[in-house]
Parts: sequence; C-alpha cells; structure tokens
Amino acid sequence: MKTPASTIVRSCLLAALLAFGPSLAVAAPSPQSQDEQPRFRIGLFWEGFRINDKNISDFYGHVQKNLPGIEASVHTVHNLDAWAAYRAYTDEAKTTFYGFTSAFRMDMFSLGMIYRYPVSLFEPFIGVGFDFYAYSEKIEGTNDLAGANGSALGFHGQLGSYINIVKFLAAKLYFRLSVVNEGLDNPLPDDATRLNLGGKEFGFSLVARF
Amino acid sequence: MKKAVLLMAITAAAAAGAAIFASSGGPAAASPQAVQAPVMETWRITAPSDENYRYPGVAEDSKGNRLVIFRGPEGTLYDYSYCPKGGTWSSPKSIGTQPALIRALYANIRVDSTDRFHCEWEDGNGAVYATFKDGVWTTPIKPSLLGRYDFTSSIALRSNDEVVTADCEIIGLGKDVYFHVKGKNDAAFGAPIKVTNDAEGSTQPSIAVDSNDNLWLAWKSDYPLPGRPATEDNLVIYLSWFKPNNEPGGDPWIVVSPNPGWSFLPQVAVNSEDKVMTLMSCSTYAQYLSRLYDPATKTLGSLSLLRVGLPMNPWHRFFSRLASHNKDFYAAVLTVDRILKLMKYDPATNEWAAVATISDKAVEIMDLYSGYDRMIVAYSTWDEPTAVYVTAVEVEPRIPLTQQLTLQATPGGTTIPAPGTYTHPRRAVVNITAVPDLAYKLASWSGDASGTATSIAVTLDADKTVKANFQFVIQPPLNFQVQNKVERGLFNAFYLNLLTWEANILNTQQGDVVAAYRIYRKPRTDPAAPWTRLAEVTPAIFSYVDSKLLKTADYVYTITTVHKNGDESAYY
Repeated sequence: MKTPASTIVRSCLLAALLAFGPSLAVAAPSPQSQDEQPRFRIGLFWEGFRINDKNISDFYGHVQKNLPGIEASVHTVHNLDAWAAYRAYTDEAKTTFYGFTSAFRMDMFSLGMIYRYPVSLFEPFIGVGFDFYAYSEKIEGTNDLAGANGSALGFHGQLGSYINIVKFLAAKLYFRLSVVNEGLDNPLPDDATRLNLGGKEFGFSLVARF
Repeated sequence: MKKAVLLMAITAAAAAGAAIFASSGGPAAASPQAVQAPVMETWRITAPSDENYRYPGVAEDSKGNRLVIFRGPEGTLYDYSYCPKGGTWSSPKSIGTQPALIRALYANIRVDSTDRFHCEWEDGNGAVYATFKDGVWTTPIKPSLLGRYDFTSSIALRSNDEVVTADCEIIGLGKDVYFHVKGKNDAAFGAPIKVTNDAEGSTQPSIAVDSNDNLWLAWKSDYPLPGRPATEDNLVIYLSWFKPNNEPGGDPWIVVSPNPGWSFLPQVAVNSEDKVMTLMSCSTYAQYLSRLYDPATKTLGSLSLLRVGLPMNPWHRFFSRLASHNKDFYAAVLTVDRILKLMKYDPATNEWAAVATISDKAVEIMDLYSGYDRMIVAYSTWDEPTAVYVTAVEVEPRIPLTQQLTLQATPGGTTIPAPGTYTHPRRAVVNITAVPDLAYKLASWSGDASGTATSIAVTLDADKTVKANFQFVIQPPLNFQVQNKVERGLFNAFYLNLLTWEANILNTQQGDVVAAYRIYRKPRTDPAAPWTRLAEVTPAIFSYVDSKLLKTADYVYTITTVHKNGDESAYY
C-alpha cells in the first residue's frame, strides 16, 4: 500500500491530464465533420476483467470477474474523443483458517483519449489513457486480522469498434490492456511486494450518443 | 580311633524296658487299649572297650541326617559320629583342631535353616563352639568371657540363624548369666551380654526361642527370696524372656520353682503354641518338677511332679533334658536308680507320663532332640567303661509350623503370587510383587505391609494379610497432532498451530475424571528448555489454536490430562 502522500501526487497528475487532455486532442486530424457525429456518448458496459495479480486471483479464487461499468466520452475534434469510465471490481473470500469474510473492492477510474475511424456502420477506435484504482480489503467479524486500502495509478491502451445501430444508439466491443502496479511497504503473506492491479478487459457496451 | 560298632537296633517290640505309663506316677496298666509300645531303635555309638565315652549331644537335620558328639576317651577332646538318613553311624572321629578340655559335662546341638549343625560342648573355662555340615567342621572357637566360667551352657538359634549361647560367668563375688551372640555370617561371637544382676548367684542357664524370636531363659539363682533371711540358702529357678535384639522383655522375672526350696539345673523349651515349659530338679521334693507358663495370658501353671524320683547320689548328678515337639513337651530324665526314661507332658492333667524306658542301664547324662518323627536321645552310661548310645523313639511327625498369607488387591492390578490365601512355613520370607494394570500404579501396600515399593518381602512370623492398593493413573490424551496453519486475508496474515487430540479411552472408562487438558510448548531449537504451560482447556474441548504466531515461530508441543484430584498425567 502506498502512503497518502504518494496517492496525492498521483491524484494531482490525474487531474492535470483531465484538464489538459482535451486541448491536446484538438490538434489531431479529423476525417469527419463536426456536424456529422454526435458530441456525447454515454454507455453502460459489461466486461470481463482478468486481473493480473496472482495474489488476488488466487486468494479470491477468480481469474476473471465480470464487471458492469459506465463510460462516457465527448467528441473533441477530428474524431478524437475524451473518454472516461468507471467500474468496480469486488470479490469476496473467506480467511484461510477462521473463515471470516474478506471483502475486496477496487474502484477503477479510467480516463483517456480514443480515436475513432468511422467506416459505414463500424467505427473502429483505439485509445490510450490513465487509470486510477482505489482498492480496499475489509475483514468482517474480527479485529485480529487487519484489512488494507490504497490506490494505484497506471495506464492503459484499448481498441475496439462502435457499431452504430441507429442514430442515437451504438454498440461497442472493446479490448483494453491496463498496467497498474503498486509497490507495497508491507509484503503480502507470500512475500510479494507489489500489486499488479492491471489486466485485460474485454467487453460489450451499449452507448447512447447525442 | 575307635571302631564304630552298631550294636543294637532294637525295635519297640524287642525293647523289654520300653513301657508306657498311661498316667503319671506309675507304670501303665496292662490294658490292651492303653498300652502300645512305641517304635524305638537304639544304636551303640562307641565300641565296647576299656575307654570311657561320655557327655553326648545329638541332633537331626531336616533331611533326617543325625549327628552325635561326645567326649572322647582321652578326656580332653570331643569326637563325633554322623549317620546320614537311612545309613549307618560313622566311626567316632575327633572334631578337628579344638582346645583341650579341662572339664566336660554338657553338649548341645541345634540345626539351622540350612541344615548346619551348631554344636556346643562344655569346658571348664567356657563352652566350645563349632559347626558341621556336609562332613566338614568349622574350627572350634570359644566365646570370649568377662569372668570365670561356671557351670553349664546352653545354645539356641533364632529364625535368622543367629546363634545365642548362655553361660554363667563369675566376676568377684558376682555370678551372672551372660549371652554370647553370633550373627549368621559372623566369624566370632560378640561381646558377652550380662542378662542378670550381680550378686544374685545366677547360673545354670537354659535358653529356647519362641516363634517371635524371643529368647526364653531359665536359670538358677541363689538370691534369697523376698521375706527370707539373706543368709538362708534358697535356690530358685527364674524364668524371663528377651526380645529378638536380646534386650529384656520387660516383664518381672518369674519364679517357677517351689518357694522356698532348692531347685537346680533348669531346662526350658517353647512349643508350637509358644507356651513355655520349665523343667528342673528339686532336691527339696526329691523329684523333677515342671511348670508351664503361657506368655499370651501371662499365666503360670501349677507345679507338676514327674514322679520318677531323683538320683540323689552322687550329689547333683540328676540331670534332665527337655524338648518340645509340636504342641508336646518331652523330657528325658533319670530315675532314682538312674534309669533313663522319656516322658511326655499332658497339659490336660498337668502330669507327665513315661513314653519309653530308653535304657535299663544306669545312665550318667543325656541329651534330647526333637527329630522329624522321632525323639532322639543320646546318653552315656554310668558304669565305666562308659559308652555312648543313641535311641530314637517314634512320635507323631512334626507338623510344620505354618502361617497364612492372605494377598488382596484392589481393582487395577494384581499381585504375584495372585491374590488369595497361602500357607507357608512359619517365618518364611515371601516376595510379593505388585503388577498394576495398564494405566494403574501401585499406590501403597496396606495391612501387614507398607510402602510403595513394587516388590516387598514379607516375613511370616504371624498370619498376615497384605493388600496392594492400586490407583488409576490419569493418562495423556491420544492422537495429539499439531498442524501448522495460516490465517490470511489478501494483505495480512498471521500464523498459528492447530493442536488436536482425542480423549483417552482409559480415562473415559473411569467415568468423569478428567478436569482439564494442559498444553505446553517450547522452542524446537531448545530441546532442553522446560515446557511452558500454554493453556488449559476444559475436557470437552479437543483442539486448541496457538495463534498470532510469527512466521518464523517454531515450537514443539505436548499435552497432559489433569485428573479431578489434581494429578496430572505424563506428557504425551
């Protein structure tokens, strides 16, 4: 787990990206006119997340969790969208001897830019961005075994395609690869000193656009 | 030296002198029912010659071998003749290297538990003592004396084969009885132990041992009886007893002789009922007299006259011998005309009856021994040349003195021998071993034994009951196991050892006896460290978690069971 100071620095960096990212995107070329495409897209997605961290997958017993999430993007210029998403990774397991419930929750915030390339019904896209994950473990029913919490900052790359169903509704298929590592001051029980919170996400989204 | 000649083997039918007295005081009537001549055999030990053999002593060991000792014709050495059971008497031989005798008169033999003959013969300056077994004599020795030796000596053996001789020694004007004691393995007698008081004129001791190893002493005393002038002659016979350590028994001396009167040469014997008979010669009555004393009731019987007269001429030559055989007392006495008779005491009438006439010749002196089924009399004749004879008179077989040992055991074990009632020879030493069952131990012996030793030896000097008390020993639980466990969440963990065990069926069989289980631990790296008590849990719990351990912690564990009485079992 990182110290609070480390988390604050990362949060500041994230805020700067959110502030300056759209303006950086203005310089990108745009093959489509601004009037022909909706400015906002809001979607609900359902994705499979295969977390990299072996400790988490082993302890909670899931190599992959299916997560709902919400995303939104705003078109800037030249088919460039500023894009953000949120999903929550939760899992539960019993402690190994007494069987108390260990509840793990990771709030995953992503912010990035995607570039769309409209081709008739399909709009393939690629994108990159930053991820901010806030995680916590709570052990219910005992004080003998402490939980923990912390946050981590990383980045991701993604690709996929919108499938424009009607004017106001599109589907979206995507694959995202995130790299979010967190150094730990206190090693895990298996002596690991890092959390590898990134992973592979592949999902489907229904996107309203307007 | 002399040739052994067995001259006579005379059966009772052939013994013309053998007579039965149906009642005391005279010959038996010729009643067919009353007269039954005893089987009797007589052997002449010394060959007819011009030499004089005298003063014999005789005994028989448990195997029936017989030994007779007597003074040789040269008058200064003792000889012996030995007759193995069923065999013949050997030629008289000298008893090895021995001090030359100044004067001889008495000889006594007793046989110990190993069938060793302990012989004592009188000398003018102290008795001579030697033992004989398997044809070999020990070198004769003399107990050391404090004073000048006086008349007569006597010998007795305790159950531990301790030898005690009694004699009279004179120091100045004091004349007292002394004991000389020699332990079974001692080479010599200890210092003399004075057992009477100075100036009492105590002499002529006779000793015998009872079943409790008490020593009974009868002796003659010149001490004036209370109320009589000190100058008046009065020779009384006292009876007293001494503990197995030879200390006085504590009772006042008992005057067993007529009072007043002149009595001499007492003999004492103890029968299988521990009743004490004293036989004496009384010139006042011109009779042998006896008196029975019952130590259990401290009852002194009335005087009994043997009614055979006393051979008063020459002066003081009226010896007698007394021996017990089972409950009976036998006496060998010389009649007024020195005929040797064997007499038996009848406690119902307090009278003596003649069993047999041992010799129709005049007899000078004799010895009497209780054999297995014979009363054995050795005697030397009066008229010179004197010869030594041995006569064996059949009596009822000796009943082994037995004691009962009752062994008991509480549940939880047994004994070796198994619990029950056993009959052993009196004074037998019985080894008893306690054998506890599984999960039991010997708590104690009770009854006539004590202590906690697994094996004990009990001496049967009385009927005894010995009980082995076994006690359940709380047992450690079974199947004690330690499992290393970890309690972890995602981020944190601690380590623990899960201890599990099972109730011990041996404890369960005892009912509700378990109070708790105690768990101990110590570092594996320090095996010599003492166990540290970690926890105590109730008997319904069969697991324990040694929790919140460091990952590097490495302990070994053990467990005990705690009995409700507070006892704790051995470690698992």
